[in-house]
Amino acid sequence: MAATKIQKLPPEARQLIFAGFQEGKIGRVVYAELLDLFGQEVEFSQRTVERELENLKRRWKQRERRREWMADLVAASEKGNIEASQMVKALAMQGLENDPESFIESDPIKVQALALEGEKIRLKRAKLEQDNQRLALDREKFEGLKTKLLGIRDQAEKAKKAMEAAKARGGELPQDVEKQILAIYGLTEAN
Amino acid sequence: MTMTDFERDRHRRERGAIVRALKQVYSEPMTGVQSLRSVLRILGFALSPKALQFHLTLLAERGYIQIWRADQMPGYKDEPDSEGAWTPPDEIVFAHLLSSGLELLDREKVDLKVTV
Repeated sequence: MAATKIQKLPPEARQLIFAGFQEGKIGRVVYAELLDLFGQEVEFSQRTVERELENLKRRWKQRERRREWMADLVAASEKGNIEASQMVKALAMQGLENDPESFIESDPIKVQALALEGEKIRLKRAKLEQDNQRLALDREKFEGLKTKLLGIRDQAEKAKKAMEAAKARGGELPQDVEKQILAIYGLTEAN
Repeated sequence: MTMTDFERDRHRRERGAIVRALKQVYSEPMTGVQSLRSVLRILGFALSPKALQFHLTLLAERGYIQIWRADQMPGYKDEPDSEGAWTPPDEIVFAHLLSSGLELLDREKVDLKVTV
């Protein structure tokens, strides 16, 4: 198997192939570099190196795609999506079970912290929503009260006008009664 | 017992093992299907991904488990990448045992499709 041959190469040779992949070199160039490094010891063809470069490219793209997906999931979790946060946690557990070594490298505490952070944000958001609802309710109550007060004020104005009309007609109201009425409606002489 | 009976019986036991495995992680809100597969392998049930997906779908339809499919995950893209690798939108990626599933294990309920 060609891949096996490459996997059996010393680390320097594999690094050279990987560096070639990163720098976007074509198979022929990488193969020539391998020949320079190992001379006639190279037991595989240029085509094998080209295939290995293609494999690397494919695997790298898949890896990037998965990373992007994970990044979106984490972003959703950070925005307070509870399900996304649970998914991150489940994936972290899965990673730990299936590949403990790579998981340790990816810092499980950080992953767990991220899930917790998502939960905290969700709770904050829920509280904010609750506060907003309470505020809307208060506003509604205030508007109701305002309407009611305006109604009373309207009535008071009418009463005041009626009293003034009565005065004009010579029908005097006792001073203290008039004051009492005005006080009930919260009106002063200045009004 | 015919071969079909034998197969049917095996499938029932596999579903029972899934329910049992999910009970172990009942306190978690969801479990990755790959994790579940690993646990089943430890329990002696080496299910193919296709068989596991089939059993999970059936258990979800009967109301014993909740499942989440790939397209329910934020960031999921329903398209193959340039190399053709692709996760189907309906692939079940997470599962969680529901209380009716627990009832099966507690023998409070009997289902001929699931041997616990």
